[in-house]
Amino acid sequence: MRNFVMTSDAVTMGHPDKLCDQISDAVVDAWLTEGNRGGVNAECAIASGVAFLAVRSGAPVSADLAALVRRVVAAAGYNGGDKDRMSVILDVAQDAALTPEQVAKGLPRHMVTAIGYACEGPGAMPAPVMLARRMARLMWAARVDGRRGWLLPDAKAQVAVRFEDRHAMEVTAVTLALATETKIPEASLESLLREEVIGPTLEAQGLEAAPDLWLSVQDGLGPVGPAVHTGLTGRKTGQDGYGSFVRHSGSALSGKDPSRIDRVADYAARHAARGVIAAGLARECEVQLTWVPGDASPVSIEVDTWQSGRMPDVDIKRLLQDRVDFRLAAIAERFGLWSLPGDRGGRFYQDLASCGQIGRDDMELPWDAPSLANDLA
Amino acid sequence: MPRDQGIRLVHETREGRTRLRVDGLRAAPELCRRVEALLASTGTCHRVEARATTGSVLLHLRAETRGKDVIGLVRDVLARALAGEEGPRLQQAAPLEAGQALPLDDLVELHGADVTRGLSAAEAGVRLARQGENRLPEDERRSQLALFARQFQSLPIAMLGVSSLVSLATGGAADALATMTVVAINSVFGFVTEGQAEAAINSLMGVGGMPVPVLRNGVEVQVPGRAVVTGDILLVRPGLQVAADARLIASRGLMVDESILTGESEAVSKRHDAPFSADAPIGARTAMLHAGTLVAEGSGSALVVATGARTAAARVALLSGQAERPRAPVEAELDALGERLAKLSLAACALFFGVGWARGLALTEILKDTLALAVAAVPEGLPVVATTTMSLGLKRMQRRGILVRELGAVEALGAMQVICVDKTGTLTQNRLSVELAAAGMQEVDATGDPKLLLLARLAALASLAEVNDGRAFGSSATERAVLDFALSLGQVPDALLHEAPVTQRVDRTLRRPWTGSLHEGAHPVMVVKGAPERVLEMCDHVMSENGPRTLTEVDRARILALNDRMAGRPARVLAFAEGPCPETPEAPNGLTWHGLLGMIDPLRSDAPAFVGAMHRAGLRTIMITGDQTATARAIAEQLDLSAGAPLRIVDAPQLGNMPPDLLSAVALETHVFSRVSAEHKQTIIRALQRTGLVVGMTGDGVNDSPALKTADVGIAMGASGADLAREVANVVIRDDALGTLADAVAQGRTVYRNIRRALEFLVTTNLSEIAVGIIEAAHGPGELETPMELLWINLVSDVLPGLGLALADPDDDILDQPPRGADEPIIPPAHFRRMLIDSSGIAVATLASHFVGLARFGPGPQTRSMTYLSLSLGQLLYTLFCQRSDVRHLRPERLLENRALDTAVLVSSGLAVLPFFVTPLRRLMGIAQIGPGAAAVALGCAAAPAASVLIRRGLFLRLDEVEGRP
Repeated sequence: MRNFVMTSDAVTMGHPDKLCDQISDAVVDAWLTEGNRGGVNAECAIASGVAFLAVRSGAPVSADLAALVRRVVAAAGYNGGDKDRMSVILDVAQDAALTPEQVAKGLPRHMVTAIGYACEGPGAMPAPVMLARRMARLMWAARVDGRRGWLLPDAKAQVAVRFEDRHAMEVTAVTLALATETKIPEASLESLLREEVIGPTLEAQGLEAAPDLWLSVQDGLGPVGPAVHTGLTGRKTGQDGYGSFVRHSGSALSGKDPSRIDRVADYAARHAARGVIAAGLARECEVQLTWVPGDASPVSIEVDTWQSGRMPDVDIKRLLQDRVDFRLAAIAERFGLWSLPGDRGGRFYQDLASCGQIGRDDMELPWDAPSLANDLA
Repeated sequence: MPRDQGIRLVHETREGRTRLRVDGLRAAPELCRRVEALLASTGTCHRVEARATTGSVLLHLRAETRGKDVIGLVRDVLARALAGEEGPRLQQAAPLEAGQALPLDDLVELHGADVTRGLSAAEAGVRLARQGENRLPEDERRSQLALFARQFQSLPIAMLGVSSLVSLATGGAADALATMTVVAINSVFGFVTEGQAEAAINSLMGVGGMPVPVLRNGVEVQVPGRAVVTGDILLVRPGLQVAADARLIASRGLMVDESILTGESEAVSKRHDAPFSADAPIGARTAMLHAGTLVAEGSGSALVVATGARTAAARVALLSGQAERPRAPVEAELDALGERLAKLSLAACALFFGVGWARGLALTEILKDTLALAVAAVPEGLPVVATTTMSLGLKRMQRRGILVRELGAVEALGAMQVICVDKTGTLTQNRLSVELAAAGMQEVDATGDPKLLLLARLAALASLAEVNDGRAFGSSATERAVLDFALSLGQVPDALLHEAPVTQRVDRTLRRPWTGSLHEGAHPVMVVKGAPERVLEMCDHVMSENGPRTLTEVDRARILALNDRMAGRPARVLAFAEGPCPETPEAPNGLTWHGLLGMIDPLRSDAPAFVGAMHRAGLRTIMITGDQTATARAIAEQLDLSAGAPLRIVDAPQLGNMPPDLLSAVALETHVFSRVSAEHKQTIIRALQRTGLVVGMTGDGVNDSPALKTADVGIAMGASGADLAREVANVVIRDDALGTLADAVAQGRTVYRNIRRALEFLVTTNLSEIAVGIIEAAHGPGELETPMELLWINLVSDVLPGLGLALADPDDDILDQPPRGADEPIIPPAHFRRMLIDSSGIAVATLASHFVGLARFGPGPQTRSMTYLSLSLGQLLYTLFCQRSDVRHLRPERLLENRALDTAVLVSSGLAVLPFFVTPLRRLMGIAQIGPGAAAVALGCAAAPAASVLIRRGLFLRLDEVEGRP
């Protein structure tokens, strides 16, 4: 087995790209909470303090989309009390392909190849992306809960982990990019970040820093966020998934309703891989699923365990094929994708979009649960 | 005329009004702005205006500058502006009259005013007699004599005058007399028609005395603006146009639009307690209100300190140019065109003269020919036709309930490319009533659910409307709807307010979308009503069936979703909350959420049809509303504002934060602006105008005034409209019907089209005369027509058909065509090509007749007779065809549908052949009787041009069908 260093990065939920993801998914939340069973598709872009939100849906959206955009932006820590500083441009239309009748057919409308992954260890996830996400979250929280008010809500973390025999050994490098309201002396900034961000993250993940940890802090002064920085839905797919640890499909996940195979496939593939690990079939596992438009079931299923399997990969593949229902509607039903926002007080997808859609240690996600263990054992 | 590097003096009056044509300014609005500001800063003129549309600069020079080198001045300024120099902000600092800077108490004493009771009616009368009416000093109205004299001032008439002098000098006394007679007849005709038109226009434009609220005898009365005197106490409220200069006595959140004086587009804050010095510029006099400015929001009262000619507006002479009606852009364009043609003919004459001289012809002969050519070239009927068309158009529009208050607006109506529609009152009936309600977090039946009683009580306490005869009265439609709701649930507001009297109110402002009232009594409370999201932020409890309980995050989300659903019905949704009186009433918190009321303002039944009509007419429709986005979206979908395309909505309560270029780009693609505050309606109009569009705006509320003023076409909807909106709009739709508005667009387009047709007809026929003249003269001596023949054609037989063309009704499909381009010249190149072909057709047919005559009779009266007959009747017949520039209309059954034109052609044909029956006339014109054979040839040639047009167009018509085009 080759030894290597893997580096992943993540941004805070105040990053404009992530704002756009959250806005798009907040539209999905609002849509599903209203009890709609038709489709919705929301894409957002932000520049110069102006948000552009395009929504296509199978029926009129009753939510006040402009107010929704403002709520998300304000909740991410911007604009103080003055939500109205932002201008919102809406582009809304109804799409005949998204009516409840069309969606009820349960047939994929898009082409997709999705990759799901799971491994032994915390969260059944690759360590670098988990570390980077947690650091981003801690940096954001330090501001929002008022402890470090000078830290602005738009920040980014990059973490390098040394792997031996595909096991995470130690953290070799951390880069944090952030902005502050006033200039903070470098030395005190670094020690604050070690204390508030890096230390707790490593502890939670159960990893040590390398003795010669390379720490870089890229700090700047505000303003940050949507007023000065552009954002676009679906530009942070690495962070949404496995931090580029494995191959991933190009599709964005946010802003799509549960009838979109290019969103649901990612969850199904993760769930399958997670099941393989939970059933003890392998130490790590990558599941590849491919759908074509018009066919409810995947046209191909492939499995790779990096020779860590208790049985040949092709047998695991057969198990998945035989025992897991991969039809689009069945997946959505299994995970409760249509009802989750309503069940969780009106927001679910927006929270997914804030920091990662797979392997969230702060949310109970159905596809992160080892619920297939018994079926596959 | 002095000219200099593309700067040309067009017009100059003794009073110092000067118009210059500056080539570089055309279509360069930014440069115009800079030139304007720089010129204003030179202090050489009272008033300056640079127009990008015409590329001209208008100056009202100060006395000391008159006669100086204006062109040099403009050239210097232009160079500085081209180098990128910015002038100071356009703002004249007219010093205050002595005494106005006194402390308020002294000022009150000085003017013998009574702040609480105002003047007595008797005293006001005395003062009015002493001070004179509160009006800006007007220039003397143009006298009838001046108007008559003006008929002789034009270049064409001057040329005719010269021509008669030449005739006199060369022994043609009869010719001279005849020419002068024709000139006189033409002038009388012009005087009468133009005089009538001017009178009609003036009466339509006249601004009535707008009522102004003042305090007299201790009560509020409405007096006409011209009856305001110093010492009056003005009651200031939103939408008021300040009638005179006044010092603030009290003010609450007052914002005033002073752009008319300062050029500053944002409203400025005014406060009665602000200090100011006597030499502060107008924009910095925070405690003064100036005549002519507009109150954008807030209220207060003010002491009038100067009226009429003593106001700042009068002294900076900004408005002094208004007594003479401004020329409509198309009239200016016509003036310029007429002048260009006259000059062209002068140049041709000079050339002609030279050639004749070189050939060694007799001087008298040369002069006579040259003059004939000059007469042929000048479209003498042009000014009369244009003015008459305009006035007939205005009258016709007035008959249909469309009052046009500014001449340029007629054309602008026709050229309008975007129409911004104020939702309330234009698209909806502005009859709000509560149809939806939610008690706490639960939607219930708004007509009488017992759970609503608490909410109804708050509604009764919070409404600013009053009860009159068991119905809500006063304040705004929203407040009345709220109160009516409370009344319908059996609340007795008077009793409630007696138990819990209001101690303080917090008003709604631009940045505060809610109102609050503090009540004393057994349980002092604050009641808040307003935008749901904002009210919800102030709440931490919600009223449930078992009393108040703590609001959770999930509750908040549910409440917001409920609000969205109600708003999408579409309804205007107000939230109600109640809580203990806070320390700072402007920032209440810890309130208890009581629920929502949803008010529905029904769409007007004709609104969807109107939007559809505008779309078919190629106009973009943009709805501007203060409603929240969900409401706006639902209405826009009902109206199909996006014409089937994805609906684009901009929600920007702080539109001013958007970069202007971005806003312009975005505005182009937007169907709805939601949650727009009054001040930003104007911002939107400006953003659209920056992209070069001709923008119309409809409105009825007082808060629409600045936007109406800014728009190219400000349209006030009549019946329900506020006085002020009508006052600043340049088009008023009296019957308030949207169909009439669509009709106004059609009429505007028709007026322009008619002027264009008449113009094209006159120019085409003149071009044919020039061609005939040149070829005849070049062919041989003695062949050219006499000046009297051509004069007869131009002045007698062409004017009536020109007018006839101007009377044409709108085409059926005039509203199915896109608007003309904003910068399209009055004669577009394609039309000019067609005119050249048509005029060649007339010329060729006429010359054919001429050469037949020449072969038979040789040069002389008989040949001229044939040529004359072909030319004059050829032109008249052509009239019937030139009125249809669109081939689709060129159908036999439609050729004669314009009865006025048919009559004009008949009468004119009679006039054209009159010389053949009146011997002296025939002799004067130098023609002779001809036999039936020659007459037949001449008549055949007269029919040829019309036939050729018909054949050519018919050919195209068939080709088009083959190619599948319309």
